[in-house]
Amino acid sequence: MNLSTLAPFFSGVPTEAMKELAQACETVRFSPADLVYQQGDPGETGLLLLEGLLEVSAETDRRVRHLGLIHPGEIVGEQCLFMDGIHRSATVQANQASAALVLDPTILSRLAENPAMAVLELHLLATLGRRIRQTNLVIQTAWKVPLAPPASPKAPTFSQRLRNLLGSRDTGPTE
Amino acid sequence: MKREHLLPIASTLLAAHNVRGAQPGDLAASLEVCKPRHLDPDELLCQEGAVPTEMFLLVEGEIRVTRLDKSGAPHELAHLSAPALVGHMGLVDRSPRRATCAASGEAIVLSVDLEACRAHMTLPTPEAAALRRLLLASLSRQLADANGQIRRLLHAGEIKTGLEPTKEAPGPVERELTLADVSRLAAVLEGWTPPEK
Repeated sequence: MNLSTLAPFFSGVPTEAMKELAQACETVRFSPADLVYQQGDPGETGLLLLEGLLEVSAETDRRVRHLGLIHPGEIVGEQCLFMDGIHRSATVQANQASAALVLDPTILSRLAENPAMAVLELHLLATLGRRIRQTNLVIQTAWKVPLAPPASPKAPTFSQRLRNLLGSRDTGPTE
Repeated sequence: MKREHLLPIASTLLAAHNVRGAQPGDLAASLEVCKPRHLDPDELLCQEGAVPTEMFLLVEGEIRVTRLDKSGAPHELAHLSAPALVGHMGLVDRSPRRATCAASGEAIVLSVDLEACRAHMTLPTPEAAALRRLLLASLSRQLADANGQIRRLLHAGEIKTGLEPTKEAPGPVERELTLADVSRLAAVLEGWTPPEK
């Protein structure tokens, strides 16, 4: 499987570096409806989806909200790779037969000099930055305008916009 | 600055952000290009809306963070204590400064040129990896904390009357969030500790 085709951010990375990354990572397979990550569990690994489809949901206010889908080439659960003490903020389940590369902190340490790992980390930095910027835009809009009830009944409230935002980025697809 | 002087700062930063997969020596080497700067009380470090050219490591003292509200008045978002990253979002997304930072007393920061830092971060070396992972851990924490804060606000924004509406308890009643709620969320999202309520 060509990782560069699957995940375009790898384009330009030398073939040898890509091989080393693929060989260092275990491949895991899921059947439809398999639980991949459970909300609230301690996080130890992230996944780069190779094939199939994963579904992300989270329980808030005793209601389960569908948050999004993870497609091949996208990464999920990456926050725990760089930080101790992270718990899964959402549940991930296989929507169909799927396969993924398992990223774990030991691989990060072993491959610190691998160009593919540098590219992967820069991609994740850009993704995190974009998610923070999106949230900030909503907040800054609220900051500069009065937090009054919406003008029309159809206009979303600030709470609804926050909810939508949470759904669009909480452990969702990274790209 | 010399690596040996930066080693304790690097150790403290990595520990404060619970960073995985990075060694203090490697981070210290990454920070050798930074320049120390002394700030007098109330001296401005960066201005809301300005194009960022540097990021800062607060190594001594405190920084006051303010943002203009809808009336144009400065509103305090947070007080940062050493050790802290300041202005690192400019490194990641090149966006204008989202707040004004000034020393609340005497303070010392290490300033890092953003362009040099961006070039350094693309390198496949343990030193560059240490800096990338510090930033990844910091941003991950910001997002995780903001997610928690959003959930708490949403939860607090509804009066709980049970899952199924009844005649006695007709269902959740929403209230709009306040400016104080938004202020706290904005601070959390930037990785700052908001002032006590």
